[in-house]
Amino acid sequence: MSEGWVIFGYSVVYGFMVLYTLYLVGRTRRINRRKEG
Amino acid sequence: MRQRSHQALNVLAVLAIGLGFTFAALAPAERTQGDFAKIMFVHVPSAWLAFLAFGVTLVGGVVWLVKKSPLADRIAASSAEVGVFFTALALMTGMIWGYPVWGTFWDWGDARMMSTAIMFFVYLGYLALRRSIPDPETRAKRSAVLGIIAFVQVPLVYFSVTLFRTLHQGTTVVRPDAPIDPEFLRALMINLGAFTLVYLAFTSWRTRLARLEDELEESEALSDFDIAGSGITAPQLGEVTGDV
Repeated sequence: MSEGWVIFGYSVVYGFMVLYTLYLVGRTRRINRRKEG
Repeated sequence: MRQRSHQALNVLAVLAIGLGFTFAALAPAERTQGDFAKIMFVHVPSAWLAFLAFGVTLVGGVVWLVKKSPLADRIAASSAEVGVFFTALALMTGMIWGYPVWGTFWDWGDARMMSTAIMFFVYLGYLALRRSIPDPETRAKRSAVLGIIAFVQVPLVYFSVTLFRTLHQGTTVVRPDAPIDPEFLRALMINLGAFTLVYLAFTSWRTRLARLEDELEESEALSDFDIAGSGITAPQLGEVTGDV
């Protein structure tokens, strides 16, 4: 039972790190495209 | 060259997170909490990095007020955004740990939880304030002042466990007689180092992105001026004639 909660906790942390990285990648690309266009 | 150093920082942060996870996974189960205690290896660094991030926002605000440096404003704003991110992680991991150990996700009467939640919303307000002001100088000035005032919460959150005796446990790691096993302390410190690298990678990336946003804003404002420039004349109030 305890393993499930620990895995859930770590998944939340690493998952949100990945999501924030994807946000930064997407926004950087969008801004660069608008600057060029 | 600069691009390469940013990429090196990103790679280093990913490797450090992997190392931190390995040490956390290999740490022994705690005597009373079992494996639940391993959530502390990500909960505690998240909270500490949030404090550091808001400290950088404070310093950035002060530097902007003194030197009017756009870079200081960008670093302050980026650090606040990353600080909000880490505060959210601290709140979520705290709740995930709290349910199986305390029997509740949230305690409305707990000083640490409530003060952290208030800090989270105040810095969300800081980010909202920045989005609501189009003029760069006014935006930088007002957010610098808010960033300085809002930092008052950081010591309040930190000392809330000693000022008020509520559910959250008191300070553990920085106590001189720290009741923490060396193996646990090692895993915690490695994760703290890894999270610090993640903070540096995120903040430097967000700061570069903020510069791109500023450049785009400036070029769009200049192109608007070209279109409207010849079509707009100043009002000639002195030449108004006729009955009013």
